[in-house]
Amino acid sequence: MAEYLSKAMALAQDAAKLSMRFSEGLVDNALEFGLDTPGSFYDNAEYKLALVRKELGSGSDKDKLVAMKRLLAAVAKGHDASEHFADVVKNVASGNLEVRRLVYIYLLRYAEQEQDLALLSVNTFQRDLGDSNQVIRAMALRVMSSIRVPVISPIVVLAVRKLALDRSPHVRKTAALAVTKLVRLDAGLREELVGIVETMLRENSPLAVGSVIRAFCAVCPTRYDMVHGQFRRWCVMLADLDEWGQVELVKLLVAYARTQFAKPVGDSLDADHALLLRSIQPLMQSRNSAVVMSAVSAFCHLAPQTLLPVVARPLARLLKAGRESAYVVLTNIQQIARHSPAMFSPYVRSFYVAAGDPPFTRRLKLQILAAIVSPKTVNMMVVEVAGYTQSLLTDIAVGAAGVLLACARSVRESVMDCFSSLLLMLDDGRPEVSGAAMQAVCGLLLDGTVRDLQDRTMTLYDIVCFLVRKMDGGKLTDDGARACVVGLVCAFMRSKFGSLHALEVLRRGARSFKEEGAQAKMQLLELSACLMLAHRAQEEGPLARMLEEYSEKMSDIHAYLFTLARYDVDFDVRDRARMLRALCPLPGDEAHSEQMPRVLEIANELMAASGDNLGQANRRLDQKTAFTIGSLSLTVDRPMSEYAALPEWPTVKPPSVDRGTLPGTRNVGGGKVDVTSVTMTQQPNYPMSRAINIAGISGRAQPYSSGPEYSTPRSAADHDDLDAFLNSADDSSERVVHVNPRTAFVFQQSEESSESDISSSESESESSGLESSASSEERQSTEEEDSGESSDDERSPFTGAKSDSQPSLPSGPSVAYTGFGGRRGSEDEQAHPLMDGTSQHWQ
Amino acid sequence: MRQGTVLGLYCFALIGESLQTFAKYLRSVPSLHEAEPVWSAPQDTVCIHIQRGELVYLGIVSQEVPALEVLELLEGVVLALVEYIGHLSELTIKENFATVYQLLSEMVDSGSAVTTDTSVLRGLVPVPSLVDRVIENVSGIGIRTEKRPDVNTSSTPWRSQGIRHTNNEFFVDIVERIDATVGADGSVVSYDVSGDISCKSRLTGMPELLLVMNRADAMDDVAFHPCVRTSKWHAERVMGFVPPDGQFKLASFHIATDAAPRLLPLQLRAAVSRQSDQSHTIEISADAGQSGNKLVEKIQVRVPLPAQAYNIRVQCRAGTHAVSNVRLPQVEWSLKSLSPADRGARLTIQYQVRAPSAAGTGAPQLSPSPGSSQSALAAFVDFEVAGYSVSSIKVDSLKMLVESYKLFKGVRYVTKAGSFQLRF
Repeated sequence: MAEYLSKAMALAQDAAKLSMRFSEGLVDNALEFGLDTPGSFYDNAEYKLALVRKELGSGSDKDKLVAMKRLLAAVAKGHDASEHFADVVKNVASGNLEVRRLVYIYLLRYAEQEQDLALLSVNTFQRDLGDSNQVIRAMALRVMSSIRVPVISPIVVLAVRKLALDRSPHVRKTAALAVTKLVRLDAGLREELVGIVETMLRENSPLAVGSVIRAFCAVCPTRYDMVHGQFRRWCVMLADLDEWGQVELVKLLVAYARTQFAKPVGDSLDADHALLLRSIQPLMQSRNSAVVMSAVSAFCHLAPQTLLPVVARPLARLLKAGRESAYVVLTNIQQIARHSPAMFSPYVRSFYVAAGDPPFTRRLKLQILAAIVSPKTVNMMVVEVAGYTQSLLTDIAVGAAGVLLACARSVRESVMDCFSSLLLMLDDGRPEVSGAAMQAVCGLLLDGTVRDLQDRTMTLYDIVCFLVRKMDGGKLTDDGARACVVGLVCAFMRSKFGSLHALEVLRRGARSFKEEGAQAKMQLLELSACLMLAHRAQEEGPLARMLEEYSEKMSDIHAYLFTLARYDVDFDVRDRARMLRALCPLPGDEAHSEQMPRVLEIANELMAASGDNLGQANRRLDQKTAFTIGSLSLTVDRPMSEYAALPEWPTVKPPSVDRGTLPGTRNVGGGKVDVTSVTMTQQPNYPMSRAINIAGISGRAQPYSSGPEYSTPRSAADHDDLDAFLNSADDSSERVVHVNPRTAFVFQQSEESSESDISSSESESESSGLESSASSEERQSTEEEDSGESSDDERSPFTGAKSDSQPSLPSGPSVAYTGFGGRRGSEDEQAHPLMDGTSQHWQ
Repeated sequence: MRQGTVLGLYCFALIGESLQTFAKYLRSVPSLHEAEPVWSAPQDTVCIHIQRGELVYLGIVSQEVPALEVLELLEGVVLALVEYIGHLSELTIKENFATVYQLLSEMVDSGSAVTTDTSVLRGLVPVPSLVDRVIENVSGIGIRTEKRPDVNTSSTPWRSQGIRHTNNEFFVDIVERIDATVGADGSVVSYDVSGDISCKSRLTGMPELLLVMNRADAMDDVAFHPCVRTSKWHAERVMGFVPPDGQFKLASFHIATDAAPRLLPLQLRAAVSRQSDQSHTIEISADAGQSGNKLVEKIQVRVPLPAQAYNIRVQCRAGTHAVSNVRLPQVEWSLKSLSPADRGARLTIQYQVRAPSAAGTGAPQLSPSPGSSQSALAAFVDFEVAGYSVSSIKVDSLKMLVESYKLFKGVRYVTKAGSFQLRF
């Protein structure tokens, strides 16, 4: 038994020893091959570089592989491994392909530094160029052309010339890519390479065409004469290319079309132009978002207006592809929506802010929502956005204010809902949110949107009082918003209650002046100046009479404010005070008051430009350069290097050229093709003109239906509307209206006419200074008849606004204070040269 | 990556500096999720990145290029790496960095995308097989024998000649996703159905397949794998294609939901009440909705709470719940399944919120960390209904042309939650 036990014991010991030895061996082995802990081979590579020379010199492929891996790991971590270059180059002809691939990677990294040694490898490459295996040939050419050593470029050119005619498309593709690298390395080779590219253009394999196009674009992008012959063939081939090739080819064909075809007018297109669009459209169904976007871009830049809506659906689909591409797609939609928002209205829900959207997505979505408001979608949009106003995320709530503003401005029916949502927002505890809401509310009051509310439970006067009360109590702390309220009072001042009101606001403002922000300070100074001017300019009249009794107090406050402002810390405030004081002097100063109106207006423009935050954001959007759709420059909003804007459409119709024949089909030469056949899903056409202005948060969106029931007063007419409303509400208005109109209006009218186009100056010459509201309506109706060819929908708001504003101007009081509206009107005009109502293309 | 280990793979000279600034930028944003994917770096470069799993893949661009092309290329790199390496993590990338290098040098040639199709790449760079690696490393014997590399330059680059399988099978998976936002009262705020048709092909030779769907017209906005003949689709609403070998995504589609009824397999409601400024209660109830009498499975409701929440008490009727507090407190409620018979599945969360700091109401919102991710106040919902197609799209028939062997066909339908949110 004991014997048995001891035997068993010995056996067990043996087994233990054996297993120990085995595991030790394993560990040894593992250590040697860097498997002790995962990833440690990579982590420790640089410490074992001393072994590399020996390993590279050994006959074993395995050692060489280990050595190369060590080197590359060191390189990857930023160590300089160039000292081993000589040892590595020896292995460039290694029989093992993996070793060879790693050698190539190393070679390319250091060839530029070690040019002489790098030359040693060229022989091997040249030998490989004749290898029977297409992958080897291609690899040799790829590496040889990637070595950035100018000395060998003639050899590479020779190799490219030879392999451009290779029987394998894979090799031809590599040859085409080599051309782009050669041009980048040595621009002097361009002439020589053009010839090679010309032969390459005949490429038939879909595999290689993409690279050939790339070579063409690198060598001679504007040699459209070389494209003519291939055009139709390429159009047909487009669907068969690989995805990267499709992107390249579409890019080239778009640039080609912009120079070779006439700008599409209406629905008739050149046959080749239609063929191109027809070939590109299926790409919108690619699984590759880059291809879809290139097709969308092509349609945006080439297609006639009627075809444009087909891009909306693919774009909405791309939004779902993930956080990253959604961002890029949104930036593009934002730009497209600036010009044609209507096509996105079926996809409004795609732009709802979802929980979990990162900040940049939220911002863009809200801006797009504001841009694409339409009567059809406004109801659901307002309900949705009203929910955002209570979002815990400040940026969503602030953005929501902008969307509500846009809704109210563009669709009459929603004004009430939006306005009440905005009023509710005023009580928000966050200064940014209540500030944004206040700015939006003031904006709506100033441009007269809120004027024709059906429900007059609260008159405009009440609203203004309500807003002014918000100034107290420390809740409304946002500087811009406070400035807006003061500005509103300023604009509102000319009504009979207004001036008393204004005086009270001024009094309170003076008390809190030192706590106000710069914008509010400036606006208070202006209010003060306006009041003084109103007082001085009108020795008679109700305004003056009312102000009379306060005149002394007013001067005191005025003097007090200007003294404070003179020593303000803010540069702008001091500056504004100095200027206003020169024009509206304190007692004892020299007087130039007759020029006050003009300067006040300028001052106000300056002021509002800095004060109106929402408007400013919007204007920035409007002025954003229109980059090519899909480009990186658009997304980062600055021109990248090598960004080239698309050429403008040719002014004269380009001569027709032979664009080759369609492979496998009959020739589509000449003649016009009905474009409607190009698209399968044609959507209703929305005129561009309506769209242009609707952009961005707080967009000055335009009314969708400006039928006769609303006389859409906008821009220049703002304050007059306020008056008109008050006047109509109060029968004792007569007194206010006819206040010595001549004196102060000389300047204002001329200013108006200089801003406006011919139609308004005509109306000015026709209209005497005083005109009743009845005749203003009459004027408008004739105006509408005049623009008979464009429907009411399409009418640009400016014609409406001007025809309104011009006649009603004289009814205002003599304080020549043009509210925000006047400034906006002129600005918008500058910002939108496309406002002529015809469908226009953008770049 | 988050901690700042930057793998400088493919780190050639010019990249280094931009990489540093980008890493700094990543650390400056409150969460990776909020980093702008296209970030304009100083020195006129633009950093374009995607996040997949725990890794960030970055492309540095210094000249004009279509932005989506870069994103797609990065996406392609990720797909290829997954194919070669499997699960991607910092560790696996380090272990296989040589393979990564070789792949990248084939995929990108001096800054432009060349080959991203994995079936083509497989011909250029051999896929390291696990068996090879084990033998090579443990035994120390030799090196794996290499096949001669070759690429398929035929007109069907996704399928090479001479594929043989003993069992010829073709599986179609139709996965539909419901993207919906549901209001607290169960009303549908937004609703959208999209789907993928994924296939697994193990077929011999060069078969040509015809896939016919029952409601092809309802599928609008279809995106196809390059193998699908789009002209045929437009003419006959049939998908004709020569399939690649193995797993691939044949098409993805979108259902025009304006006309269709909005079917929700899961009816969710929420009630939020505030007992006081500090003490809040969230109640979520879940009932089975329209799911074609199939069981709704794998239900997960994730409720992120505000950063200031504490003293979180959770009760649930049915299912299990878990409270985690990694970066933000959140509650997860899981239900194995829910059938129409199950009523009253309910989750109640009570928590208290710390009063905002004395700095004032304005300050906390401005500081990035709590403000930006301060509870989106919505629950994120996930579920799965096997064997159910919410759009009622079915495969009518699958025919094989050209080849004439017998083939086994399989079809499977799944409806899942896409981005499914319940608002409070």
